[in-house]
Amino acid sequence: MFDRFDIFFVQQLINGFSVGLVYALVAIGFTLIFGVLNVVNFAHGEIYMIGAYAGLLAIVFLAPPWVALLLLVLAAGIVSGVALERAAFKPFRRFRDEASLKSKAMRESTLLSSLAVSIVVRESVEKIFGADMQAIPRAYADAMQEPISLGELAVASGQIAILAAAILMFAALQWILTRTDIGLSIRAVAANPLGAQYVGVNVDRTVIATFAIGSGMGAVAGILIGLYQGTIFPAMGFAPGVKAFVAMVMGGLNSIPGAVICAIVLGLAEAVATEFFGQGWADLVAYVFLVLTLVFFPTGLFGAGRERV
Amino acid sequence: MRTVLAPLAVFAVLFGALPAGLSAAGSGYLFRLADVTLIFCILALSMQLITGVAGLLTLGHAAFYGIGAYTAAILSTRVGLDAGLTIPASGLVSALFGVLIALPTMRLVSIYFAVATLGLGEMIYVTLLNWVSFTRGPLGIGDIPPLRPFGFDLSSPLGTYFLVAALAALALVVVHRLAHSYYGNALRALREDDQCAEAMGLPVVRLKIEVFAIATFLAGIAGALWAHTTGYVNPADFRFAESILILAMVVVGGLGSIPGAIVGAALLILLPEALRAIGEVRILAVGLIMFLCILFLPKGLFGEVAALDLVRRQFGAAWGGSPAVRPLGWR
Amino acid sequence: MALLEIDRVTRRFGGLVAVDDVSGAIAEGELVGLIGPNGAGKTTLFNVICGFTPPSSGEVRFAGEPITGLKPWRICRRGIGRTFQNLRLFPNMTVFDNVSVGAIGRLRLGPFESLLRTRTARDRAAEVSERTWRALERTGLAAYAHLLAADLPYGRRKYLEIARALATGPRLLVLDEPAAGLNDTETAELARFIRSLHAEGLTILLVEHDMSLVMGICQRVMVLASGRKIADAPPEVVQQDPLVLEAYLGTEEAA
Repeated sequence: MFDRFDIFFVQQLINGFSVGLVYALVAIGFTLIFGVLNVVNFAHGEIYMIGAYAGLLAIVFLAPPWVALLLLVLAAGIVSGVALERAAFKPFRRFRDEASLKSKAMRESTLLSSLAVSIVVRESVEKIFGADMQAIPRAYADAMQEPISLGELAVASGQIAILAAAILMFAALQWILTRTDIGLSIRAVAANPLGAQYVGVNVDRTVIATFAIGSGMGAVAGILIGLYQGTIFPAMGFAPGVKAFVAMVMGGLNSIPGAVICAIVLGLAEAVATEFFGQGWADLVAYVFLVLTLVFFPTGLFGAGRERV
Repeated sequence: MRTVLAPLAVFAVLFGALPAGLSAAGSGYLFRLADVTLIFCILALSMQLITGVAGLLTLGHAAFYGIGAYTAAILSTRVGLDAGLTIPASGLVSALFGVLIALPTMRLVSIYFAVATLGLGEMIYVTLLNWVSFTRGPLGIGDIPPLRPFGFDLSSPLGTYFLVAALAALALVVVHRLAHSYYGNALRALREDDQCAEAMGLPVVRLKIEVFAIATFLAGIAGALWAHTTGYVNPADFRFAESILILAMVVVGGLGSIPGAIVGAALLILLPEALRAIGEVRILAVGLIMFLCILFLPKGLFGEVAALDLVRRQFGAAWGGSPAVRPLGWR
Repeated sequence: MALLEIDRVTRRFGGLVAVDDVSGAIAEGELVGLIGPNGAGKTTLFNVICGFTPPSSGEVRFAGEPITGLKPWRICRRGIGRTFQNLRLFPNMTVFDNVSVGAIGRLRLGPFESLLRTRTARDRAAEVSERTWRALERTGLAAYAHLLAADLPYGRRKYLEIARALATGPRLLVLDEPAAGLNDTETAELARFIRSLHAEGLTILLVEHDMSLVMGICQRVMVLASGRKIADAPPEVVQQDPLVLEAYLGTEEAA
């Protein structure tokens, strides 16, 4: 049915799809935080990295069962997300009037502060663990590499795990946002922070909750991908962070489904580009998408529109 | 009288005390450190013009620095062009890219502009890394001839220092004149509220493109100096982290302040060097200093507001201001 | 000949018609008020005139030439100076620098002139300085010139907005709700000031929510309600107009 080239190509697309899911996992938390605070959290990639390292530590010292491992990582993500919020965002939410909430300076201060925190965190981890790749113990990493064949195509168990995790997280987030009280206040703050405050939503608590949820998901994404790839390193957060950001921008900034779809599109496009131009040039794809989207689709591909020009 | 003293002092230190001291120490390492600091002064000054004065937060400045460095490297190794020509050529090529990039992105509002520059900066980095036939990719380009512009041999540490210092001083004059003239007021108005500035008759997009072109020109010059003084260029020197380093210099020094840019550059180059004893902590120190600064010194060491008066009073009409005009004078 | 002509301007936002087929004209030397209840379309019409919002249909002409679709800065250079309703000063710049921005816009100072300090650049800079001081003196802000705009007392900020618009050298000055947030004494002072500007020959369009200011100083008043122009007459006539009373006072009572 397929000739050799086609099989190879479809295989590449499957790999691209799972790479896209990786970006999607990171993008979900990213978009959640952006939608609520309307600020770019440059340190989200570092949360992802922290998740991977927390997982590695847990594996090395406790060798927990899978569920416990994921819960531990989730907790680590939540803690570091809340700490990040306290350090880099809270100080800039002193002023609550409309003008400061919308002001350019506010957004740029938090952009810079989260950037600075991300540098400090990454470099600290590098000082502690070294800049090199750390291998995840085989006992855990191998579980992600079981080949599962589908006809002439093969997928790794890790790819299935990532797909399952993406679906699960997406569903969990939808559930939280639409079915719980905290989700309701998150949506209220995202729609209108000032109005939410007037009707009695505790904005501070909501923001912390948002960071906790978004960062927890980011950390779990980090360990899953670390397990799947078998190695982790301090700078591992940068590339997925940038790509999740691109997906968020393409998806229209405050649309989580949009970000997920665009993350997958991005993964597929990178797989195709790798196929034709090689790995190095494929890195260009995300940036080209980013710039083209910003310039030609100022409200994103799926966006309801937030003013950008 | 005082207005003449400050620039005189700067120039006396730059061309008198500092080279004399360095020569006395007779250390190549110290000369090199001085060169690097001055190159980063040029970069910080140029970013100060875009980010501090005109209010455009850019996260891709190192890319233009890289374009300048690669232009100089390629022109001098492949074409055999004289350093006297490669340096201005690097500035022009970099400015050309600056304009090309500015044209589509200048309509974007603050944060999106910042992210677009990040994307474009990384695109340039990826290109430098992967266009192996042209840039030799990750190997980098070596054997870049030292500075011998138009037959003058400035390849000695002292000669190199003087050329770098002269260009840094030139960049200082350019940025100072632009920032502290009425043209600078127009740029500041963009920073404060570009919509309102447009209503006051300022062609906002054109001004932004102009200032971006000037700043990228200076960054290109800095790149050429880096290439010629180091003798070797490599894409890793022009990555995102380098953009952030330059940004941190400007933020620490204080947005909008020219002395701030210089002090910021000196601080963030020299302090990590001084801390070398306790290990390679350069980037960590940069991040930490930047974070503390944003948190506790939101205006930086010499932020615009405090600096405004300081700079005006100190440097005011120093470079040829007309005393006939009223107190605020020709700025 | 009319200085500003608004010719059947309509502006829609989605399904909402903010300005509905409005026409009108302002002659050189007039002081005209534009009033209407909240949401009547005053600000939209204002933004159409100044180039911030393109009209969905219709045309605006200034001094006989169409200005629809021009960028705000071009419209400003043609001679329409404006102020903003909710004070948009440049807070981290001095009062002098704020006002100088208006003068710079008109005089086209380029980077190379400033860099090389050419003869023309010096002359223009001297002119910017001159114009700025004139505008500052005219608005009584000369004493505050070195103060940061952010440190200026609230009442004075209104005058800073006006000074900045005056420095652009306008033929038509459009003021967007200048009395908002002022008490009665301050409003009276502002009214005297606007009248004195008008006495010097400046054409002024005053967009206001507050009836008393407009009725007190304007020669003619246009009234907008729900996007349509319902009256265009001298104040004493407008005050008696049953349509205006219904639209304006009716909603006012309801509010």
